[in-house]
Amino acid sequence: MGIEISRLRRRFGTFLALDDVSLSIGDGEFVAVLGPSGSGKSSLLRILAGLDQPDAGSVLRDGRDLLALDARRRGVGLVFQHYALFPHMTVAQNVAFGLRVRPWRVRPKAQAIKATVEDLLRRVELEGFVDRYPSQLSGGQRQRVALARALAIEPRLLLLDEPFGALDAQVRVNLRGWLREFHRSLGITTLFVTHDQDEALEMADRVVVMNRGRIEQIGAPEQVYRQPATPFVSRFIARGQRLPGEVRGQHLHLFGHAWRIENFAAADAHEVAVHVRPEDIVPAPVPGDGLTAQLLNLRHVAGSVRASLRVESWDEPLEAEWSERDWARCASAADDRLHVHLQAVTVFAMDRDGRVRLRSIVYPPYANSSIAVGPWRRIEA
Amino acid sequence: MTAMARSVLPGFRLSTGYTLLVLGSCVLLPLAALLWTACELGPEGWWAQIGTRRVLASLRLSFGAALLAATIDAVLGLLVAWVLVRYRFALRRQFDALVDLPFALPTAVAGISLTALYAPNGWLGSRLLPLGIEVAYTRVGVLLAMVFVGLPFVVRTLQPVLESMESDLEEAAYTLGATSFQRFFRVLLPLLLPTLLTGYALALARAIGEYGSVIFIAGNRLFRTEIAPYLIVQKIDSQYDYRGAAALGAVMLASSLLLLVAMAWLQRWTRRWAVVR
Repeated sequence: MGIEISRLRRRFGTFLALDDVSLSIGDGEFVAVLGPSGSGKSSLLRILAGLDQPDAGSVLRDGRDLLALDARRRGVGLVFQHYALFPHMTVAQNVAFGLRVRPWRVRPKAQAIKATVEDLLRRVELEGFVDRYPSQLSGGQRQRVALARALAIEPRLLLLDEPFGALDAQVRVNLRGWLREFHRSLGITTLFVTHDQDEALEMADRVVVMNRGRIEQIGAPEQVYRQPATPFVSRFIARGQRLPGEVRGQHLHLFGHAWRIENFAAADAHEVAVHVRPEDIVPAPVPGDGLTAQLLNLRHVAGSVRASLRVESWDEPLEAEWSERDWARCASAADDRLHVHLQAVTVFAMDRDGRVRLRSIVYPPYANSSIAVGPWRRIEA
Repeated sequence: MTAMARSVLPGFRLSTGYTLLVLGSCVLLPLAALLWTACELGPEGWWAQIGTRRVLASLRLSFGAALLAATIDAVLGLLVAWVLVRYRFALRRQFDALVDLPFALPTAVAGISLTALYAPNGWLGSRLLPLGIEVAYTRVGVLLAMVFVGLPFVVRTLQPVLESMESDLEEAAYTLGATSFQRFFRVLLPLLLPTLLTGYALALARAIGEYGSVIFIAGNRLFRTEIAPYLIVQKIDSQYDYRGAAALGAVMLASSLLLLVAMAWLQRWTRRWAVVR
């Protein structure tokens, strides 16, 4: 059954932190809530943990009202961004805390607590650290203690607030894989909040993208990346960049070319946004073919090449990303001029309220070839 | 020389010399003079000064009441600091400013106002008297004055620590199933304890040394409500007995020093978790 969140609303003064948020989480699922700061993701987490109450809406767990339960009795494990370990307790005391504070009738015996703590510390690979204080641990170790402490109460829902936010990049990448495996071995329903796209896409079964208190899209990592539902998701997840495109009749007009899009009733649209991903701007295989681009700068980053381009006469520089191999093969540019193709552009049509009514992905045929590629899709608003 | 090379601030020697000079002339020199004068008495003369029933009673009252007053201050101060930091209410800033009043008030003024209030014909004293509670001119009065002057020390040391304390820890304890009672006694209090002890030590030091506000409300009754500082003044004032006063002063100095060292040690112990490796 899992958790059923429906129509949550939370307002702080004039700021709407959660605006009509609905989400269902399956049992044992690993869900990432992704969004920039101030998007409402932490508010959602705090409400689920019982540290805050929504103004409206409901949360059901297995059909029962979760919001009616006090935070103490929710059985929700929460791991804080800055760990929130009790500095005056040793690692073992920290982990045992949730068991020791139970009413004496349901409190396990001291020996049982000790065994549980040892077992948990073994699982998070911190056996030798029982008597250390948090101040004697590294960031990654603290994070794992916080996780063990949250797991000690055998939560039915695990919430992670920016779990790797305060760690350095190397540790972060290592812990990602570790946590993914850890979740698989435990099978606890887990919701984690992050503003890091890579983290969310790499770890989660499902990604919930939030912006300004609203859910923009819910989907598998690949789906969110490939088929962004809104311009925001396109920008935020896929680094989509705006192009000066227009839709007239059944055609997308872009950089002097017109490509046909079907079933796209532009008449409905109040506003049209055309986006392209960095990796969909590719060097043209045939010299002199495609759109002309001026190379503004070029960075080589660990196997990929990132370039800033001025395409045709469009003012805003576009970011493109290629593999070193593609770059080496196609860089026929003697000076800073080269030719590029757009492999896929996404067209969003918004109504007067800014809601996306239509979305279609256009695969522009190479300028000189007559092959029209283009499965496009129409989505419901 | 290596310390000089590594130091961020220039003029290591000059500033160290200056520091030692100030410390020596303002603190150590007077204390040395006190001990010197006391030593002139010799062991027997010293005991003749200290061993009297009157002096022992005053020492017992001074230290006993000060310890008790500091304890009461610790509890009340924690409460006041907690309310001022955690709650927002009307006139909060005014109350916050009022906390400093015992700092700012001349101690004699504090003593006179407390006496006026609690004297048998005073506004509160006259109401307490039928209940059998006497405050002015008793040891309770001494205690009251000491509590009054010590309270701001506890409040002011605790306040910044309470303010900077993240709500994360309490929330973590909450989601782990701790009751509000457990959250306070298992999480907050142990973390506040080192600071609370600092405040306690300050309040204690002030209470031991307090003179002006205590003597008025104490009434200075022989063997009962005479505090040690009062006896010191008495010795000089009425008998011109500088050596006797110095002997008593030396005893107070040594005892206070011992108490403060003990407090510092206790404080270190409560902060053992913060020491890395």
